[in-house]
Amino acid sequence: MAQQVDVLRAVQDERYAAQLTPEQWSELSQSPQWQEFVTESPELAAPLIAKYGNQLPGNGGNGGAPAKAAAATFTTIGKRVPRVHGLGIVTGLGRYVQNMRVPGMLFMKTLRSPHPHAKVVKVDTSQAEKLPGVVAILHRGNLPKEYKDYRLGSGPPNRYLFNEEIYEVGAPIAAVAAESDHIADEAIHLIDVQYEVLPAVLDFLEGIKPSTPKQWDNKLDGTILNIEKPLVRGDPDGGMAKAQIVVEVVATRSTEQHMPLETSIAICWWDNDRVTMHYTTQYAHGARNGLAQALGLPQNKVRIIQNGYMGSGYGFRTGVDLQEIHAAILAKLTGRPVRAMATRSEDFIARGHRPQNRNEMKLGVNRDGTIVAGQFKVISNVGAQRGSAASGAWFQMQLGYKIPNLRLEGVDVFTNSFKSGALRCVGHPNGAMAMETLMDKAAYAINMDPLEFRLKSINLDGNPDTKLPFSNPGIVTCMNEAAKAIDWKAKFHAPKAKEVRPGVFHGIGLANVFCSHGGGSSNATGIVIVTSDGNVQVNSGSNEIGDGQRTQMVMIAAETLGIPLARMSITPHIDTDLHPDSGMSAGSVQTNTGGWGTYEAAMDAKRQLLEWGAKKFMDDAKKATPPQTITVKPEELDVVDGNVVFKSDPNKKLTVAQVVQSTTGQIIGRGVHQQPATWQRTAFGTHAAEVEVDTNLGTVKVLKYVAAHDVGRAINPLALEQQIEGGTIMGLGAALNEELLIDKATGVPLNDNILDYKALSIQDVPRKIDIILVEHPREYGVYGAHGIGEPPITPPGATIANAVFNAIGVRVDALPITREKVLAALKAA
Amino acid sequence: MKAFELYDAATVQDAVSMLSKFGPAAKVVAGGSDLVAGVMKDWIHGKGMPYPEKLIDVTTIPEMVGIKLASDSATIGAATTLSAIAESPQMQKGWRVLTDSLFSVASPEIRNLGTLGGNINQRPRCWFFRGEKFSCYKKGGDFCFAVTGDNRYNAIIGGELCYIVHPSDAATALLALNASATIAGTGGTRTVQFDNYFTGPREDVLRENILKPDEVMVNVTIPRLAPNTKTAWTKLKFRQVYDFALVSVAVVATQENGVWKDGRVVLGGVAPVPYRAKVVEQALAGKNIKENAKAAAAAIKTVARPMSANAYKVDVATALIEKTLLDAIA
Amino acid sequence: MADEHAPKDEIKEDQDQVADESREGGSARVSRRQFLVGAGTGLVVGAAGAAGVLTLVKPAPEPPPVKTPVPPPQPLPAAADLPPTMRRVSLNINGKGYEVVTDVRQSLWEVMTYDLGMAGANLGCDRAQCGACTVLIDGKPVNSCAVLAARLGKGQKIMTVEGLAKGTRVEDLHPIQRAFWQEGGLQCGLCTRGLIMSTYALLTQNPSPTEDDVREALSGNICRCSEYPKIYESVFRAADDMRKKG
Repeated sequence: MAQQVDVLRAVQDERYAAQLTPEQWSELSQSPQWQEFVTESPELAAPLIAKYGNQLPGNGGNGGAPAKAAAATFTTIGKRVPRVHGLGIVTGLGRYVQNMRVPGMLFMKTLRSPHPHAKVVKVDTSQAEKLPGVVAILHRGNLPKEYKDYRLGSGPPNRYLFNEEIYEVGAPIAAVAAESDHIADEAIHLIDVQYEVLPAVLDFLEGIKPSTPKQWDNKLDGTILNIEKPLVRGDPDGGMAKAQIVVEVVATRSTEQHMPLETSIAICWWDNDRVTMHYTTQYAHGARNGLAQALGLPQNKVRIIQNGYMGSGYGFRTGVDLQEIHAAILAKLTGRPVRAMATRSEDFIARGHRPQNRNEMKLGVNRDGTIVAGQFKVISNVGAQRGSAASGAWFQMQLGYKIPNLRLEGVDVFTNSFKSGALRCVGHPNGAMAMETLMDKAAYAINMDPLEFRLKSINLDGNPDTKLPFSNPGIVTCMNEAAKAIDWKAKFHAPKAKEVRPGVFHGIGLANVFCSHGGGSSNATGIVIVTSDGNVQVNSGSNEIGDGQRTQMVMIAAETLGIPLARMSITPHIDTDLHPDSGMSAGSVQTNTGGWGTYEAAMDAKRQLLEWGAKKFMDDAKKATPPQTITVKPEELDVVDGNVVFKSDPNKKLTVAQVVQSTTGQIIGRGVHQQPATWQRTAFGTHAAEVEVDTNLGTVKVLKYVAAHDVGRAINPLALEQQIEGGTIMGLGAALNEELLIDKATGVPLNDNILDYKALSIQDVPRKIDIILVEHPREYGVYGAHGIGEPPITPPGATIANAVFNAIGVRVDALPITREKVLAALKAA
Repeated sequence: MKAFELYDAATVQDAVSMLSKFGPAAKVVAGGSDLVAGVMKDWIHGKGMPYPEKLIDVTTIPEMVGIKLASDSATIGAATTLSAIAESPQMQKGWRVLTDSLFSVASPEIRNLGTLGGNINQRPRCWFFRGEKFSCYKKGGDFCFAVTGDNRYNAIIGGELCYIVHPSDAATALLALNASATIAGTGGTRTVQFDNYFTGPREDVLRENILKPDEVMVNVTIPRLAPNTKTAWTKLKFRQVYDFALVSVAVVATQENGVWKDGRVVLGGVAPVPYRAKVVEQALAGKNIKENAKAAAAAIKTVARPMSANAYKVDVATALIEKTLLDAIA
Repeated sequence: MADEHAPKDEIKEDQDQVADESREGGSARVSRRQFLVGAGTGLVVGAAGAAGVLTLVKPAPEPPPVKTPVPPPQPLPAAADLPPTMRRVSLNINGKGYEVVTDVRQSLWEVMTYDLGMAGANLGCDRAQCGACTVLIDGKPVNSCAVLAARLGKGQKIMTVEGLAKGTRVEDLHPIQRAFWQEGGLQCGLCTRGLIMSTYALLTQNPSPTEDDVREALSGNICRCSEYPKIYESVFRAADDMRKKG
């Protein structure tokens, strides 16, 4: 239990109440103060009973498996802890890579292809070379031969450092290093390139046609990269034929881009035979390994420093891309530091995106709400690379609901366009969007409440195909809590039944998320050093990208060691020369990767503290007057509040500093955690929204938004709320605004800037997101916690689409739901 | 950005003579939030749109900054910032439709930099025009990519050859207010009503107004409104900040007992110039505004010629005209 | 709680090293510019001496990889000797004066970052579309990416987040800085410095803003981590604290 529950605060403070754990509710329900409220001031207790009655004894179960964790007592976990490096952020003391300057630094700019598919015939740099201040120009024609065969990722088609045949707008043609940013920019405009323009595939649905010209030796039709082996359960065709009602949805998503506010930037230089690079990455060690491979160096000759102050990533910064490799080569050739910072347009175009998708969804149901069969096909536009995205959308289709007869298909299509990758997950937001709009349509088709329909078929067991169980599925709690918070029972109505002002209609909708992310991964390592003054250095390779991971690491270390949080320290930055590889800050894994590594390291350090403590107690006894001989076993001791104490008598204690000073100097705890493959690790959540749709203007306004997530255990509720708020609002952006567009004739991007991409401003979002932290501790989670970075971005698409349908009685299942689509749908209806 | 030379003008005459001396590659800069941070950083240029080689700063000309109130008008220096105008209590009191329009521009940061002249004379936002790789008519090229391309934000009225929409909110309001501009050039100073200020693609596709390369907009004069004049401003944007008008409407109407006597309904975001919707004005002439707002607004449909992907803007314009008329008399 | 474990020791250590680096670095840049007239960015004199400690810290200091002999200080070229592509300007940033010779192409953000080594504003788009680089000029928030530094130096007072705190300690923070940190009105923090300046402009004009006032005043500052709910909380908390302080 985090702290003794504050009953008065629970009654008065909605947010405090929302973060109470099941154990705290249990404690609250038994406290005399609460009993007093219930009997003396029932009107004050009533809202809590209405909202959290299922957590209070006598008010029924919560639907999911009960929380297993015993009433643990925590000193640090559960506290709202602001960022450990917040001072640096709010002052300018913390340096983002873009804030750095290194003496002698050159500025790099990249000339990029304007064509989606072409051959580079000739690159003439003579005019650019004449521009004063230009120091070096790197291109296909002068690339040192040791780099000529290196390619990023797998092919075909291949991505070399400079391709002869280029497959996308934005493919690099030449990189200029100059004395200033503006000179480099001017120089790339002086390079003359001759292209032989080739036919391009810009529409992924064209790419799957046999008539589409192949761009490499492809055994499949057109530019299809991969047709997934279908996942089949039961008899999908027979089942569908037997269903009383069959509903179909074609749900689509447009290309989204991360648009992290700091564009990708690297500053690098060589020292002897080693290269050092400050770089915006979510995975310093991954970037190191990638750069080492590109440069033909052993990993220990590449040093990546991730500053810890980083304008985030949201998924597309887990490795190195061509820009960084070009910069490292130019630094070597010139003998000077090179700074390569992408323009906003380059970040929009040349790196990753959540892919465009088309989902062909068919569900067979009976009128009683039983799902009989599902047939789901996902077609993904993975862009100008060999990639895969379609089957990544299957997760929720496969195990969100009990579907006895199922067929899942997936097709990945190459186009000469935006490359797919992770954006707070690659495919789950797509899969959930398709599945949850389909579930809604089916519920309306059989005239059943969409919440009831989902509850009837919800899968609580685990993966039906692999038989791996969930650990404590919290999805039902999430659904019930979200429904309660939005007042679903009172507010749900028939489609287009609630006109609130002339032409303006109220709508309500909900959607679930099942996401495989957040369970952790291997590379779960950590180091914890207890210094001779009793303070603690936490040395984790967990990359800080704005998610508060490094704050979480010190919280886990403090809790595990029994030493106060104020005595923990962690660097904001990661230096691959000094920090262990704790995996990427992506896949929502860090809570259970860096977190487990830190936990194991802290346990190791604590074990040593207890051993040395036992020895010191015995040694001190020998030195006492008169000398005594006592036997102290480490298991008789504990570390509490920075002291090594006897469990039997906490007043008999040594400070941690005294214990460490009795050793040779420091205590170094080392942690390596192997993730057991026992569970179907799954994040659960439910979102619900109320909207107003103006049928004259097509405007969709979000009035109220509820996000309930089962986080296992809330280690830092402040950071959890932040992740949920941020992910949800980014998801609302994808639902309503965001789509990265190309001109269909030329393939040239149209809105690769922040004005035209329409990322949400403070003007465009609800004042608050109502967050419900459900805590069903997971067996696999560090302190029961489950990661949260990605799940919140997943449900908003379907939640809004479903609420819009409820408002206007017409479905718009193509994200983003812009006013022109709403108005067109209304006209067509 | 390409290298350029920067000059401060001390007087209007100074600016004009520099423009005259340097030729078409010289440009006046005031706030620079679009010319510098947009056009020049994005290398938007072409045969008919030379990259600026020389910038002449006019914010250094005292005469061009500030608001002068007279009994019958207000005169605003073209280099006055948008926020200075929008926050002026006198301007809010006398010309609310203008101050509302200025508050709807971009962001607080840009309104603190951007100037009235800059807002009126900024280049359009069509994404083909703004794309360095599209050589369109407006840059001296030989194609309009919007005709066959994604034209969701392009013109629904008055497009021909080129289908941009005029980007200025201030211009929309000023045309409704029957304002005029004072322009200085080598030949002297002239005053031009905004009725005659804007240039459609049919007249000259390379520019959006009558300013010659050696001319500077010095100030804008707005007459005081007649008694019984009702005004309103509405701007629908994609997001509530930064975005240009999908459709904006400025109504300035003289009425008696709710009956339309005289006035203007001007639309932004729909045509290559701020568009005076005379069909709507005519449909209201002599009629009760409230009772006829819906029908009058629908008259816009008779002049609209939407492109492949922007028919929704006709519906939006219709709804917004009605709303703005009703707001004006409310 | 967070106050107690703020990385004080690291700050001190970093200051020492970076101040050192800055001295060498500034000189190295000067020497290079002497044969790159018209091609470079700026020429700075006395930046290390004049700037407050807040402006001179890096998280992971590195020894400069290219050592250039330190030449004696050079006088700045007179304004009249510069071509029209360059200007000499006197910038007043956070109350301190800086003499800079700059390529006229350089934005205020570029001069502050590249020439003066400051970190009071971050660059998000370089097109006045995101607000990350917001600084105050004469009390008004503007995009420092869109302002040409060469057009300043006419008496304007520039203020960045580095001019808000009284010093480098937690207790020196301005209530707005403290509130954004403690209330969690930031995630990656790239937008935060700009948001703090927009908030400062708001609260110095309007000590008790409504929700609509906050929404309007901060609308130009895009937070892509989308931490808008706690940004409201931060602004209201800061307003409370500032009112209490009087």
